[in-house]
Formats: sequence, C-alpha cells, structure tokens
Amino acid sequence: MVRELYTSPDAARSHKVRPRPTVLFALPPLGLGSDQVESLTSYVRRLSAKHVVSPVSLLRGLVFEPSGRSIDPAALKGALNGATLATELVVCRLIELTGVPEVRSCTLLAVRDVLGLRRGFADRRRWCPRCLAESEPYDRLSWAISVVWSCAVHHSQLRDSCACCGRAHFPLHPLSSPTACPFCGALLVGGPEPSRPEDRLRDLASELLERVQRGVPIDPAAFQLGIRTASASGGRSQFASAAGVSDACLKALLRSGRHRPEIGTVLKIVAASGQRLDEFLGGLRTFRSNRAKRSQGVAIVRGRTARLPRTKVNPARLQQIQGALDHALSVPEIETPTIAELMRRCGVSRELLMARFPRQYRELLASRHRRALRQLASARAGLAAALAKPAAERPTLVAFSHECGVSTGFLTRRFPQQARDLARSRGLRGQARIVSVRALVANALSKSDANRPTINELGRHARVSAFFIKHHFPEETAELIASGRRRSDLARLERENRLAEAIHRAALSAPDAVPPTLSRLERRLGSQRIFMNRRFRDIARKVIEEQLGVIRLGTTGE
Amino acid sequence: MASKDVQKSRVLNNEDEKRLRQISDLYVPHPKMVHTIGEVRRSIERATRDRHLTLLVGPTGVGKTTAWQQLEREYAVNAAGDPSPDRLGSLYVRLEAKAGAYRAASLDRVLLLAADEPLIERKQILPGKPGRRTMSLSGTNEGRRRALLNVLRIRRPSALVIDEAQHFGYLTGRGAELALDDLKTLADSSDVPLLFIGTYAMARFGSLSGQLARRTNDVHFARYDGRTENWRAFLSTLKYLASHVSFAFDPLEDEAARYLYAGCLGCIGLLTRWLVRSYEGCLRSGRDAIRRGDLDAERWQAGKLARQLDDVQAGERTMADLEGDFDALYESLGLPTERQSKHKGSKPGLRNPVRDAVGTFGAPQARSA
Repeated sequence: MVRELYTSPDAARSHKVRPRPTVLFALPPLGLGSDQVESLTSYVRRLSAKHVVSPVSLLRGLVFEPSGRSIDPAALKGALNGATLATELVVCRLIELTGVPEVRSCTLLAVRDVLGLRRGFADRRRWCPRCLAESEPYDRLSWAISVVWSCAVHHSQLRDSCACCGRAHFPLHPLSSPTACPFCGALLVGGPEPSRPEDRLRDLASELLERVQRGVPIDPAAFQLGIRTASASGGRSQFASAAGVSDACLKALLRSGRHRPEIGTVLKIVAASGQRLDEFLGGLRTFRSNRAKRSQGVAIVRGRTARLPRTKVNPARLQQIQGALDHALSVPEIETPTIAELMRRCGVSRELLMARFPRQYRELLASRHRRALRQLASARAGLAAALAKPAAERPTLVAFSHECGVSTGFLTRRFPQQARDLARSRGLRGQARIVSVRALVANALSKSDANRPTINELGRHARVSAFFIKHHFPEETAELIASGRRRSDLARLERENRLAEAIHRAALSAPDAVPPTLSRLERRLGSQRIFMNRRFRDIARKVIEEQLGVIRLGTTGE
Repeated sequence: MASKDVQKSRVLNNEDEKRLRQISDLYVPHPKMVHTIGEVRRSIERATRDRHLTLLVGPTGVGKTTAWQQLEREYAVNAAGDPSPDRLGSLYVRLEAKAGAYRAASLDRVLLLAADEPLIERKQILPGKPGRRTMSLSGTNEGRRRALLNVLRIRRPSALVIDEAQHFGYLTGRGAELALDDLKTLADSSDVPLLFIGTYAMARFGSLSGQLARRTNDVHFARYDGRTENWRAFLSTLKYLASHVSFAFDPLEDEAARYLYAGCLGCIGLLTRWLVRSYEGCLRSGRDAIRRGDLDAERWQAGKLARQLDDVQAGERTMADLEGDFDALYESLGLPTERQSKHKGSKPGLRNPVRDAVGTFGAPQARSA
C-alpha cells in the first residue's frame, strides 16, 4: 500500500488555494475569557490524549526536538503555566501546529513584563475532585498558582496527592490522565474535601486571572503606590510580616520600578492591604463592567469600546454606510475589505461603525480573522514546502513573502523557527556560491593571459555580479584585471603592427612612386576615415617617413 | 507498441514538455464522467449509518480516479472555507496488490500516514481501568486505531477513499470479508462515508454477505459501448479532444473515429493516454500534429485489446446480473409480477367481448362449449 495524498501534480498546482490542515487538532482551550481558563499543561495533556500519545512524547517529538532544544518534557513542572522560556517555546510551537492563537491565554505570558512568573507555581499537579467530575475534566490555570489552595467554584480544598496511593505527580507525567492517578490508576474525582468558603488569596487570584484574560493592563507604578499607601500607617516591616513576604523584597519593590514581583507576592501584598486588586494594579477605568459602560452609551465589540457619537448623523448618510457594509459582506470572503479600508472608503470613524452597526462590525472582524487563519495556514504550508527543498534552491525570505502575499515581519513573528531556517539557508547558499565561484576563479587563473575571461564574463558565467567577485576575491581580481590589461596592450600592438604593414604595402604599391597622401592611402586600404584616429595617422606618417624618406602632407586629417 | 522513428527522435525542449503536460493534465468533462461525478457526490452526501459504502466500479482506464480527483478538489475547497484549520477535505489512499492475510494494523498505519498524523510510532493507550499498574509505552495497534478514529471524528473528512480496492480480493481466506467488515466498523464509529474505487473485480464485494449488500451503493462508470447515443457522446468527446490536440487528419471522420474507438475500447482515459503518447512521439519527430502513423506506433496490440475487451464485457455482464430482473425476484418470492397484476382478468358481471377470428369456425363453438 502506498500513500498518494498531495503527491499528484494537480494537488501541487492547487496548493495555493488549498492550505493543508494543521498538524495537530485545533482544539480550543476550555474556560477561555474567565478565571476558569485551562492551564497549558492541561491543554497539552488533552491534546496529546486526542492524538493518543503521551504529553511527553508530544512535546519531545513536536516541540523540543524540532527546535533543537534539549529540554526533558518529563521534568517540566507547574512553572510551564507561567512565563518561562519553555512556556514561550511551547506556546509558539503549539499555535503554529494547531492554528489556535488562544493557546496563549492558557498561560500568564500577557503579563510577563510586569510580573515575575518563574516561581510561585506548584511543581505537583493539584486538582479539585469535584471539578474533575464534570463531563469534560480539565485543570484550571488558577490551581497551578502556589498560594491558591481552594477551588473558586466549589470552594473545596485542592488535592495534590492520590487518595488511594498517596503519591503526587508532575502535571506532565508520561502516564497522566485527567482523572486517574498515573501510579495506581485510581480515580481522582469525587470524595469529600474540606470546604474553604473564605479564601482571600483564591478570590484575588481569580480576579487577577480574569483581568489577564480580558487584556486589562497592570500598572507597576500603581502597585508601588498601593504598597506605599498600605504600609504608611504601620511601617514597612510590619506590613511585610503581615503579608508574609520579606522586608527586603518589599524594599526592592519600592526602590526600583524594574523589579518584577512574583505573582504569589503580589497576591499576598494585596490580601494583606485589605484593598481591592484593581486599586492596587491600576487600569480602573477599563475594569468597569460592560453593563455600566453600555448604560453610559458606550458600544463594546470584542473588548474594544467606542463611545456613541454625540452629533446626529444624517439618515441618508447612515443608509449609504449600511449599503456599503451590506455590499462588503455579500462579496466572497477573499474580497471582503478590512475595517480600515471600509472606514477609508466610506469616510467614517471606527466608533461610528461600532456604535451604529455592531453586527456588521463583528462579522467583518470575524471574516478578517478567518482570512488571517487561512493566510497563516497557507504560509505554513508554503514554508514547509520551501524548507523541504535543498538549501541552494530555497527562496529568500523576501522572495517567499512576495510569493505568499504576506510581509516578512508576519513570517518572522508567526514562524520564527522557519524564518530563521530560511535565513540560515540563505547564508548557506551564499557560502556555496562563494565556493563555486572560487573554483571558477581558480580555473580562470590557471589559463594563459590570452584565454582568461574578464571579470564581467566570469560574473555572467557564475551568475554573480562583478562586485561580488571583487569583494570576495580581491587578489585574484587584481590578477585578472592585470592580465586583461596585458591582453589589450598586446592586442593593440598587434593591431598597430598589422596596420603599419598594410600602410607600408599600400605606400610601396603606389603606381607613380610618389608617396601617397593619407586620403589615397585610405582608398587603397579600402578603409574609410581610418586616419581620423590620431594614433593611426601618426603610424602612417612614421611608416611613410621611415620607408620612403619623404613626407608629403595631404589634405586628409590635416 | 514499437517506435518506428528512432532515428528521427529528438530531445524535447521546455516548450514541448509544457505542451505535453498541458495535454496529459487535460480534464475531459465527457457526459459519462460528469454523470458519474454527480452520482458519487450524491452517494457520499446521502450516506447514512446503514448505507455508507459506495463502490465506484468501471473498466481500467475509464477515468475513475480522475473523476475522484475532480470531486476531491471540490471537497478540498469546501474544507479550506471551513473556519476550523484542522479540517481535512478527504482521506485518499491507494492499495497495492499484496497477497496474504489481512492486517488491520497496516491499513490503519497507511490511513494515519495519509492524514499526516504525527508521531504514528508513539501511539499508546493510557490505563483505562483503575488498579491497572503496568502499561506498554511502545506504539500499539490499538493506539493507532484509536488515533485513526480521532482523526476521522475531529478532522471530519468528506469521505474515506480507497483506490484500487479490487486488491482486497487478492486476500486469502475470508480476508476480503474481514477487511470490509473492519472498514465498515471504522466508518460506523466515525460516521465518515467510505468510497471504494476499483475495477469490475470489485463488483462482487457487495454480494459477499447480505449485510454488506444492504450497506453498499454501486456506481457504475461504464465505457462508451456501440449504442447510438453512446456513439454520439463518444464523437462529441473526440471533438473536444480535437480542439486541444492537433491532428493531421480529421478524427471525426467515420473511419478515423472507428479506429480511435477500437484502440481505446470506448474508455476515455485510455484514449487520452494513447493520444498523449502519440503526441509525444510526434513532438520527438519534430512535428506538431498527430498522424495516423503516430497512433499506430503507440496503440495497444490487438490481442491485448481483445483480452481487455473480454474482461470488460464479463464485468459488464456481472453488473447487469447484479442489477437483476425485479420480475424474477417477484417470482422467487411467489408474488404475482407487476405485469401480471396490471393485466388482471375481468371482474364478474363485466363482459369481455372478443372478435371472432375471420375464416375459422372452431373458436366460437369452443367458447360456447
């Protein structure tokens, strides 16, 4: 039996219109947009279960080995859900392999610039037995935060060891499954757990995760101000001991804005201050509820807000915009304009579009998103095809981006590894070219002066510019140029000798034994206006003078 | 097939190769092709849980695979328009003739390869039952089967296509039946329609067992036989081909058309391949239009064609047998046939007048008696 998929020439021709499906299933992360969002380790486990491989095999075979990293996936712990280097690598690669950009939301990468996320995560897997009893069990991102010890939904205490064998396991244990212990196979679901209805750290963690999910920024300056305010009354040391953090840590946070606090530290400080999280982390204005915003006449579409225009819009104008929007949505999706194009074409603001035509705005956004996904898939397939070729035949990144109709920035951002490979292959191609040109240059120099090519001829033959040869082989170039000069000197001499001989013969064969004029000589040589050239004229004069001893100046050339 | 113009042959240049490729890639939308594509599409789209196996049967070189390629392109475009980036247009594999016992594992592996599934050798099943302490970490057949089911369920290909499926018939013992049952189970579990493409040797698959017969839908891609309407369609196809390939003679002229028909037995795929080879020979000789000599040099030998025709006709008879006569079925079931029930006797009390035969005297007497 043989495999024939996509190998026929037809399939190759229609490659552009037919992006190949993603390597891994495009599973969306669960609990998106809420504090119940799935953790990255859980997503990897779920994805690997669908592909019937262990999470370790999946990460090793598709993430770490192809990117040349020697990371042991079995040793990856809870910090993978934060923002370590491995997190970035895993997320980028998974987005590429699944085509699901939302995978990024399974981590705290969005706040990596303001929060320290290397520590503060549990090494062992933790779970709420009641949450795992649901129809689609998965681990929440909040369970991975060390300071959180209870479930935000059921308020029951989290477990970190099997009730049957008492053993704990890593989140990516090779034999781990969502609901069974990898060691004894006992179910992890159910069982009475002590309830913790009051858990300030858990509530704050939920609030923080919700903020991150909604893209609300964290303001470090506001955080510093919050600490100062909270510690103003009782003193810094007292506040530090109340919060359960070291005084040095608090001091460092107050001293330098560049110091990034760990997530656990932030939660402890906010909990000790007794204040609300949004007062501490800033972004109050954007954190108001959507309902409140809508009541104030603000339109919200996919997290972006727009205040309704206060000025009254002409109904005829609205109808015109409506017509343009309907037309834009009725054409095939590939021709649908972007929102920016439509705004330019209709001369309307984004706010007006969002406020007056929210449905159409959403549809335009969705269509853009679909197109982007398709473009991504097509670029992915094209890159794979380009990288499958030998290094010498690979296109440059710029040529490939022209071919795909995307920018080089898009390629380097979305497919960093492949873009790097393409760029590297360009370097290899350059090296290979230098080697091949060196051989040609050596061959040229091994010939005699008369047979050596010029730099330009050599360049044409090797398909490189003359500048390339001059730049990479300066000594050989000098030699070639010198031999070119010698050759041209020799040729000139030969030419002059031939002419002198011809002039001599022509002068001697004059019927009247009278030295000919230059114009007569021209006629005899059968070459018109030869003595317009000063050098030839001089030669002719010299020959006549030497051979005949007489100079008779004619009219030609004088 | 013997090339006569060996001395004259020359190397094809890029332009020639381009033209040759254009002709060899030419899709000929002849009436039977269009009809078959429509039938297969309908059969796949209407595939239900109890009838999901479609057999596309026809003689060699009639264009079965080409028909599927056209359909596959449609499905691929549909899949490209799907918002889910992991959607697969269809899953296509071609069987190789391989004698021996059927092994589901090897078919699973091939299907996973065709679906570009990663890490095929590392498929493993996690412990399902509590208390099971050991498990194998190596790739398992069971793991591959489950992965294949997930591929079919999640990537949702429009059809699972197995080309050259007549090779299932070479399996020893009850291999063919087992293989078909296995694939039936796969299609049942994943709800993906199955399409088998093959020659007439595959026609008996539908009758291997009653259950298979019930779940199978046959699509017959027949050649153009000598009937009038088929002959007209063949001529129109020739006309289409003549508009893309240059002939040094008129191919629609009666004798030339009959020659071309006999050389391909009415199979358009064979005809196209024959023309492509002849055109290549013609280009190698430095000419631009196909002569009769080019066709002669490249045509199949008459003996081989006769043998092929025997096979095709036997296959056509098999298909006709499978089509069967419904009246005969009625008779087997002991029911009056449709014709009989239409011509019932007259009801009591109604007259049934019969005109007396002219010049005979026996009949009226007999009636009165």
